[in-house]
Amino acid sequence: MKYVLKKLVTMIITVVLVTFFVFLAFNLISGDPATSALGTEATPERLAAYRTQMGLDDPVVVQYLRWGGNFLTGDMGTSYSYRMSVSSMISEKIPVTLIMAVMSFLIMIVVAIPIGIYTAEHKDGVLDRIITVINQVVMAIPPFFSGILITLLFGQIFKLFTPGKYISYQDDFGGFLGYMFFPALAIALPKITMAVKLLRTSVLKEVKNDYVRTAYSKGNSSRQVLYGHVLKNAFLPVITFLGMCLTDMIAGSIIVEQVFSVPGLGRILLTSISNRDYPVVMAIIVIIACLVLLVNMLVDVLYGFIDPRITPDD
Amino acid sequence: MNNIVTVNNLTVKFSNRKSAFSKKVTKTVLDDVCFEVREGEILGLVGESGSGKSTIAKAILKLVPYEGEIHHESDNPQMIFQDPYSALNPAKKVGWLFEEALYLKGEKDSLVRKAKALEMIQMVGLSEEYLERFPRELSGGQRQRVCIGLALMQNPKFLIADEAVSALDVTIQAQILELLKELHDKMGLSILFISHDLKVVYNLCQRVMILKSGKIVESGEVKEVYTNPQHEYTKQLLSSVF
Repeated sequence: MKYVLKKLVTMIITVVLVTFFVFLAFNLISGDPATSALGTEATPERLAAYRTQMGLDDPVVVQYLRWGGNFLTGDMGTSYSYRMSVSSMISEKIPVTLIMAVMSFLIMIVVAIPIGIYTAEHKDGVLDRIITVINQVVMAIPPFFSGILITLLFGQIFKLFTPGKYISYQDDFGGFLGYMFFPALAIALPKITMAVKLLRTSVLKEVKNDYVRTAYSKGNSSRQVLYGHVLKNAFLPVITFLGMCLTDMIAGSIIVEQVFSVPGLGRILLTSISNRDYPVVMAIIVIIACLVLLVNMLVDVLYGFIDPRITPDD
Repeated sequence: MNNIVTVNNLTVKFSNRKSAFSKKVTKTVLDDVCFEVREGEILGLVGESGSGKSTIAKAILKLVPYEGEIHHESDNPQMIFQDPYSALNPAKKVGWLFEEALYLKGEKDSLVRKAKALEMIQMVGLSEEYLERFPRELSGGQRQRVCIGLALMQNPKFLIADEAVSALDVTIQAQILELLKELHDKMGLSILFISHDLKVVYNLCQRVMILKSGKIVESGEVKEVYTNPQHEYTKQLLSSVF
């Protein structure tokens, strides 16, 4: 309990620091939200009036505290460029990005874990070597490029989905999942290769331990040794990696959303940054930071369950 | 006296690939090794690092492919390893490890399993509370006791101790050796004791074999070999210690 509390306090401090520095960064870089909201033709009087209305003339700290206070009461502010409330702008986008990240995470687990175990079990077999070579190649392909390849292969040649024709989850949830599978796959691919490699190495390293031989000499079959003794220990480094992947997938969806024209958080984040639309950017960053921290905390807790060596006091 | 293990013309070759596409390179680790372990004796096997001591142990346990003949009188030889830290699954409690051996033999009654585990842990000189501990909570000597206990769960006639005390400090070494000796006397175990420590072998074993580069260069009664070494290598080894 004390452990969770401690983690929670750390989380809050982290979120405050992250948001403050992002806020600060926006004030340091060039660009004026008033100009981007009203256009370059706007008169100086109108710009000044807009600035006063939005509170842009106040010192940074005051602006930050005002934003923070509002945020805590559930008011994420009003977008400078769209003149609508931030919460209504992003509330529809969050599920899109989140579902995409979770999907690619599931794809990664479903694909990587069996392959990793198989290649470790059949080390130096024909299939192991083929997979190792393919792995190296795929690992070198960045998600946006594999996204293009997937569009070409599954969209144009096999016609499994229509590229660019995004299906909203409010209209047709099944169709939405069908469409989202492909960007999720693009995000998952490089992670799959890393997870396979990591799991394979981890299992092979674990197998070298003497307790594995002891387990054999007790009369365990090789399956029993692998599933009963080795995997639990071999999974430890992999779980850390998987946790990192999930956070990476949330953040990494930004570019892939562009490739597949998915209207998620990534897209709106990009436009808002170029428009100097602080309230929107800040809200998205808070959400992403919270998600990342939350996932990290889950991984820590999971670690405690799977590995008795780590007690929550450590 | 009967032989518990007879080894004839044992040859082990390892082949390795430097990369996935290069040719295999073959290296002979054991070359035409012949010896026997007699019932109820402790046989020492001495040699420098890389001489193939552990490979003999692995071949006897059929953990490496070999040529030649290994004849067993005992059906379940057990092994105790050098590193007591990697020899126990870190994710399982000591009691679980003990009970697993029985469970795999078909003992479904958990009360019986627990009773036997308790009996064994006391036999190797630890108290009941250690059954509830994880290996990380044990010292090196305690772990090695657990390893010995786990091996004895199989009721073996033949035990291989591969550098079983080398990783322990001197006082603990003495205690573990004492335990091995005691169990040997009590249960009539035959032990193949692999070590690079000539003094330990002198104190524990009845017979000794000297291994160099995969060949046995000398073997015989410990006292005889130590007082009257025949081979140049043995003389060299002994002069470096005594």
